Amino acid sequence: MNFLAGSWIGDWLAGLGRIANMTREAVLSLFTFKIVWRDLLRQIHFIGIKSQSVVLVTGAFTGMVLAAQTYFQFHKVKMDTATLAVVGVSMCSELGPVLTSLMVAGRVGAAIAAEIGTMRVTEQIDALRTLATHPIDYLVVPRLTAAMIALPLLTVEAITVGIGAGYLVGVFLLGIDPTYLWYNMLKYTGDIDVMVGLTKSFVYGGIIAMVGCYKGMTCGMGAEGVGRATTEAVVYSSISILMANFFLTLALQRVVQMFT
Amino acid sequence: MIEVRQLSKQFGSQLILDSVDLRIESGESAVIIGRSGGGKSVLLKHLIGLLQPDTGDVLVDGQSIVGMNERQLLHVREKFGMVFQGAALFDSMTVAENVAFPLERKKKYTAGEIEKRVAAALDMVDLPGTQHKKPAELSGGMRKRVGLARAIIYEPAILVYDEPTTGLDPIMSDCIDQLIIRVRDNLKVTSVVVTHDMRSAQRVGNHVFLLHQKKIYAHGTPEEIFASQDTIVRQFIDGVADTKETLV
Repeated sequence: MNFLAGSWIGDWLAGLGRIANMTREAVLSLFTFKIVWRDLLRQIHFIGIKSQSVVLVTGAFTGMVLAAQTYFQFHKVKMDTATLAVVGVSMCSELGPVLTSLMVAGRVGAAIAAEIGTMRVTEQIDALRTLATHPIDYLVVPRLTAAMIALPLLTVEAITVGIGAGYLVGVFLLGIDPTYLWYNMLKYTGDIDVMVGLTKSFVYGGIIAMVGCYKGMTCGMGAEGVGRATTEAVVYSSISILMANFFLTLALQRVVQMFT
Repeated sequence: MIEVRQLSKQFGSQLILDSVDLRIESGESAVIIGRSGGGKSVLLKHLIGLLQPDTGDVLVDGQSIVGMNERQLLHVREKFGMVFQGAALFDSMTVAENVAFPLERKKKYTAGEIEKRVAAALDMVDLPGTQHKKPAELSGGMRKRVGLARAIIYEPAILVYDEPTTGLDPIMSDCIDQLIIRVRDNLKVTSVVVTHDMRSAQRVGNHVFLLHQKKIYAHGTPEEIFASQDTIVRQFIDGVADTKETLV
């Protein structure tokens, strides 16, 4: 592998190896380290509660625009009442988890990278190590756990608001019969769609936390280093979410087929 | 006892330390002097396992710490307290939370015990009543003293100081020096101080090491070092720049 040393692909593979090692260390620590509830609750508050406005606006407007676009096409073939069914399935299995995660990656991933990056350049991470505290235990584990708890909850919220907003647009703006609209949504949106969405958001929560922590803990020195780490955390976690979404969709489809 | 054997460290293509040998006995107050950017802090970080050498060995109480993983090193570091050049206080916490941090993590103490020990540690560094302040509200000297309080609260056997007087006025530097001496004498700890402040080195050390051109160039008692007639040692002690370097 020496021929790759110094090349961008060598650096990329080395980075991938480092983040995989850090994830392994964090998961091992998760099962052996006694969680400090105060740190975990603080992170859940930061990742979950403080992302409310972003997630609510994203969920509502996605549901609304999806309802309107679906109606414009379905109206041509007299399938108006199937509008909310499309909104329901799309929000549960794709748009809810993906858009929520992308929005949270922008807000939380950047903040995690900036906070940990600043700690690194001001030697606070070295100080943790000299105080016999593993940075993975203290910095990564609470953020990883909190993100994997908060993301599914935020996704449920985005899905609910999205479907509700789509319903309001369908009934009050587009004049679709509310009874059939709701009935068809319940008929075609299954528990399995919700489970798929929650599974995805759980994984994306892990991606956001790990990429943010990794970028912070390996950032370059000075303000420039922290700035670059912050940008890279958002870009890399967003790209990772979109790529993971494709593979997760295929994998979860196989799982669903096994059980249905 | 800390022993460094043939330690070398390189960052990229730049060699920082080249086959450094060093031995610090228990209870000793060692001072490592040398030029800025000469590798003093890098050497210090090797002593506590924050950096791993490319070659060579570091022994703490006879146990090699080279090649240990981070979790094994955590146990070794319980013997150490470190005061950082920029204090490295956790800026999201108050002074009391910073100083209490090592005790909170051990989960062996009650809230009342922690409160008492924090107050005692802050008293020792002449900062009583500052518990509720944030690090941003403190001056540079106060931050270093809080850093020292945090380092001594769990009573480590070895205290390492990275440039404790850098960036401070002479009066505050003297205050920090006196604190280092007071802590050393009261707690009977081994002290390792990295500095390029000659006055400070003479006051706090009983064994001085001069790091020059990536190696320990000279070592001895402060009296021996400060009386040395060696050109390099004199140049450093008297603060005389090399003409060629000045022109460059």
